[in-house]
Order: sequence, then C-alpha cells, then structure tokens
Amino acid sequence: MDDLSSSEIYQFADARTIPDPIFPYTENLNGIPIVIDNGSFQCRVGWATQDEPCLQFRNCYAKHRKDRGKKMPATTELLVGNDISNLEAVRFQLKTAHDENVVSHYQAQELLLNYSFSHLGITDSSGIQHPIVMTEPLLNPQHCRALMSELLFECYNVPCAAYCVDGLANYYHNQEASSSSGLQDGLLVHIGHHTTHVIPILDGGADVAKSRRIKVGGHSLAKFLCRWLQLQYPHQASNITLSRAELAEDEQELERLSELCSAMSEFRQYQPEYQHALEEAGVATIEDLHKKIAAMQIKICKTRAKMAQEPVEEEGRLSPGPGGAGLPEDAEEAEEVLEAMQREWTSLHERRAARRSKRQEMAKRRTAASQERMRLISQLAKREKKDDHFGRRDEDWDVYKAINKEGGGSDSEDELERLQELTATLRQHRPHFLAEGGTQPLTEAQRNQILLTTEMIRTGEVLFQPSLVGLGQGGLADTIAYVLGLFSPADQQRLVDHVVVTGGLATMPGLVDRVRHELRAIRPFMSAFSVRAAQELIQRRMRISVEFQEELALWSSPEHCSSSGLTVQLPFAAAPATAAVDPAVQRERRREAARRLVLINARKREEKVAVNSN
Amino acid sequence: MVPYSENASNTDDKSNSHPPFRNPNFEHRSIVSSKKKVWRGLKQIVALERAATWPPDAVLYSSIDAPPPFKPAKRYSDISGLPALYTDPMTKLRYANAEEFARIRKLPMDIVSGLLELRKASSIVG
Repeated sequence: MDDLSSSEIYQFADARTIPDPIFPYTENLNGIPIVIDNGSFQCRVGWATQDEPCLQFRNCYAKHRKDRGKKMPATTELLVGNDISNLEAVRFQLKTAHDENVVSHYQAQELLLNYSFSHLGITDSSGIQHPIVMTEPLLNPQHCRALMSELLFECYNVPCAAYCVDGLANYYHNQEASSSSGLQDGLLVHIGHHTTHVIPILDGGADVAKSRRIKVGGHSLAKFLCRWLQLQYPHQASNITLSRAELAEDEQELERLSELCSAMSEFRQYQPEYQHALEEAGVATIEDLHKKIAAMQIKICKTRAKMAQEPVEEEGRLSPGPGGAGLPEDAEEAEEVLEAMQREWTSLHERRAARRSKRQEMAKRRTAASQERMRLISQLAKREKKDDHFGRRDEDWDVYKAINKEGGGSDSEDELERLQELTATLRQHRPHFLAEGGTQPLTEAQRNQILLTTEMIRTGEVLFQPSLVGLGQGGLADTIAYVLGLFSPADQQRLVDHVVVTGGLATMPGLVDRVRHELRAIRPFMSAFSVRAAQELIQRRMRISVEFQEELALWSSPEHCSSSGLTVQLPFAAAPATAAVDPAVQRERRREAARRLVLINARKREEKVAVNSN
Repeated sequence: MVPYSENASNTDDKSNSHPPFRNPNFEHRSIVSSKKKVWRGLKQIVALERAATWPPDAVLYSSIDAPPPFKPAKRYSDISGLPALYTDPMTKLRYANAEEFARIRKLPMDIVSGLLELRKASSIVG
C-alpha cells in the first residue's frame, strides 16, 4: 500500500473557469431560435443553427457584497456561472433557481436568463425577438411552467416558446436514423444532477404514466463522496502542524473534490481503475470486494509557498528536541540514549492507552472504574462535613485527578508534545521500531494523501443502492425492473431492445456495463437486449432544435395557431404585465376563499357526524 | 425585520441596470411586497399540485416517484465500506470485523454522528 507507483497518485485538479465572452450579434441571426438547456447543474445556451452551445456555465450565481457592514450604500457585485473563479469562496452566497430538478425561484431564473441573453449579444430594446426552446423536467408542475412562461413572454417579450424534456430530446436525437418519424421504441435512462428518470417509450411517444423518477443523481454522488472523505480524514488537518488557515484550506480542498465538475473529471482520470472496479462489482459478488481494494491516492495539491513553509516549521520543532541535533557523537552513547528514548516512548504509549481505556470504562456505568469514582466522590462529600483539613497536603488534590471523567489528563498535553518529539527522533534513527509499534512513519507527501479504496466502487453504487445515502427509494436496477413489470412481455422485449443511457453521468466509466449486467439479471434466460450510452452526450442536445425550427416558425404566426384549432389560454397573458391586483378584487378573492373554507369545514363536520353515528 | 431586508434586496435588483431587452415594467406576479417568502419550494409546489382537482388519469410530478426497493438493503461498514455483518449497539455504526470495531470505539462523537447522518440514520426514531 505504501509503495504506490506514481501513476496511481492523482493531483487534485481545480476546476478553473474562464468568464464567458459576449458574442457578437449578427444580422443573419434574425429570427433564429435560441436553445436553452436549463439544467440544474449546467445551463447551456446557443443558437439553433449551431452544433454546439456558445455558452455553458454552472447554473448559479452569487451576489457578492463588497463592503458589508459599512454604513455607506453597499455595492453588490453579481457573479453568474463562469464569472465565479473559485466556487468555494462564495459557497454560502451561491444561489440557484432550481429546487432539485425543478425551477422554483424565478427571480434567480431571470438573472440567469439576463446573463445568457446579454452574452449572446442581444441589445434589442423591444425584447428577445427569437423563439425560445427550453428544456424542463419531465412532468414539470403546472405552477412552474406557468411562471416560466410568464417570465419568457412578459419579461422578455418572446414571440413563442417551446419546452422539451432534456432526456427525451437527447434520445430523439440519438436514435438510429432508420426511424426518423417519431420516437423509436425503447427505454430511456436519464441520469441528471438531482434525479434519475426511467422513461419507457412505445409507439412513438414516451409513456409518462409508467415512467419513474429516483431522487439520486450526480449531486448525491458528489455529496456522498465529499462527506465520506471528510469523515475519513479528519486528522488530515491535525496531522499537518501548520496554521489553522491551512486547515481550512485543506478541508476546502476536500470539498472541492466533491464539486461535481472535478468529481466528474476525476472519474475520467482514473478511468481504467474505475472501470475495472465497477466491472468487478458488476460481475462478482460482494465477497470479491475484499480482494480488490485497489489502492489509489490523491495528492492534495499544495501551493509552493506552503511547501516551502512546511519544512521550516518541521525543523523548528525538531531541533530543540533532545534527539535530532543533540544526539551524542559516540555510537555507544547514542545507542544508550536511543534505548532510553525507546523505553520512554513505550511507557508513554502505555500510559496513554491505559488512560484511554480508563476513559472508556468511565463512560460506562457499573464498571469497576466508575464505581471507584463514585466511591471517591461520596468519600469526599463525607469528609467535607467534619472539620476540614482537605487541601493542606498536596496529595489531597490528586483526588480530583482520580475522579476526573477524562481520566485525569492535565499533563497529557505535555506528554503528547514529548511523545511527538520522541516519535520524530525515533523515526530518524529507528524507523523499524516505530513500524513495529504500530505507527507507520509517513512522509510529508503521504500525510497529505487520501487513500481511495472502496470509495471508487461505493460512490457509483449510490445510483443502484440509494439506501447508501439513506433514501428509501429503489435503485436504478429495481426501478427498471419495476417499470418493465408494468408492461406485457411482448412490450417489455420492445423496450429492452433499445435501452439508452443519457445525462451527464452516462459518461461515468463502466456505468453502461453495469446497467447491462443488471438487465441480464432482470430479463429471462437467453433473451436479447441492448444497452448503449447516448453519443456525444451534452453538445448534441443543441441540435435537436434545428429539427424543431421549421415547426417553430409555423407556430410563431397567430394564423397557424388558429387554423390548427388550438387556442392557448394563458391565465396571466390577459392581464397587463404590470397591473397590480386591485384591492377590491383582492378583498373579493379573500372573501371567496373564506367562504369556500367554511363550506369545506361544514362538509367535514357532517362527514364526522355521519361516521360517529355509524 | 425580514420584510425590510426583502425590500432592500428588491431595491438592489433595481439598482442593477437592467439589460435593454428586458421589459422595464415587468414584475413577477408572485411578488407581493408584504409577503415574507415569495417563491414556493418544490415540496410546496408538488403538494399544491396534488391538492388541485385533476381528471382521474392525470399524471403529476408526484405520481412518478420510484417505489421503495423490493429487496432488503445491503449493509456496508460505516468506516470501510465493506459488507458489514455487525452493528455496534453503542454507536449504532456498522462494522465488518474486529479491527473496525476497535476503530469505531475510538472515534470521536462528531465523526460518529457524521457517519450516521451520511446514511440518514441519526434520528432516534429510525
């Protein structure tokens, strides 16, 4: 485990963002739809004619108040998406428009859309004169869609807008060319940032009623990994005897790992290992987990300044120690000193261990130690009633040490220091002794490393076993089995013949293989099925819009809408955008609500009476 | 207290120059100045949606939640991730072997509660 080759050590890669440029707006963009993939993790915005989105940013913003606490009017600085160079620095001010996968905060959404449109170079004062194609979650609640439409139509004055489900759009684009009309039969597994959807598609359309949603996604994975590592390496901070500021830095470093972007890039980094592990996890049973604890280390990257600081401090601590510098020249004498030190080290260790076990005993009732403590306390209480000589002799005070629950450790700090000194010296001269003693000598670099063992498998497992994060829902495999169970055997075969995995996490190595393995377990013996990940996952989604474009152009004309017999009733479009609700109307509404409440209460009372009489 | 800060943030919004394409008169319908909390969370939205009257075959956001698992959940050690056969009655942490048990007993309280929180097992009821 200690001699890991350097190829297995990975540096922390910090995600660095580059602020988005403002794209020039040209004449030939007139009337071209704008495509917005409004995901809860990333927002991608582009023109329908482009293959790739021009903007791609974290769908969040931070309001940074520069001079907080001062009397003068605070100037706020608005940072959106890629403007934020270090996400951790503004972690607590970070705001997003999403609640899980649904947009719920429309003021935030407005800020994000402002950012998108202005970076597309639009300066038109009459609004956005482009159709909008926007993604939304499957079964977006009506409330949310209404508010989003309100925002688009009334705030930005867009001529028309279309919503599409992100996973389905990707599926549509990725289906085989042979069936270009409508959607090909198949099963869509869409793994998003907060949720995972399993959507069956039959007869040219998604069967929404039989779709299912699990509340795990990239975010749950990243959070799990981050918290886990934080708990596994709390000493990460205390081991490094540097200032507390660095301690915080270290923790941040850990947290940054959880940052999905870096987590994703890491997954990609240790691709071969991860794939290997996942495959094994898929093929073999749990017992195999024991065998394949593939060790891997991630080195926390430290700035050079800190590295320079470290040795200095290390030396500073070593030199005053009795060992290091002050070791006698004579070999025999040195041997003796070392021998003495070794003895002292052992005794210190023993004392510490004894104290620890005593503390543990104390914590429990009915052990000899805690009973002894109670006896002492009661004795003390007795003695104080008579004429009191307590405290005259120094030994009297030792009693407090004995009854201290912590096991009497006022001098344990000095001891710890001494122990550290001894350990440092012994590490230099007798490395084998320490290794036997249980503590392994660690180099400075090794101390800052995180050993990844089962984490590599476990993190991905969250998708398949949400119980790992305490979620009471079935995993991906369970849900696929459940969804398939809702169909007849013939339809099931049609579904599994074309299983497509989409979403940001579909790039996770080994995921498709794992899904394949699970499906094999679900399906009847010797039956056929196919699983594949969607191609060019993220960017391709933009292209869908090109196919939409003609239809959108039709829809933007009112004539088409009326001729096709469709009238769209938007509840808010009738009222002028800025009209405040008339107080009289408001009063009337309130009265109406109260009346309704009275009715409901009366009915409930009647029901209760009826039940009682029965 | 809160409405004041709410107002302050609103004025802040206005002081930030609006982009030209934005309708200058637009205000969110949901914003009422006297109200403390303007935007509903997902839970509220879903509850509201469910409370409304729908045709019997309507599919709502809340109706496609995945069912609970049909197999019992596997248990993994809280400190190593290996399959765990045992549970420490004192800390309620799961562990796979004796070494891990020794480690568990040495863990400070905050780590123990953090590990339990990780799998949402820290509540007394559960």
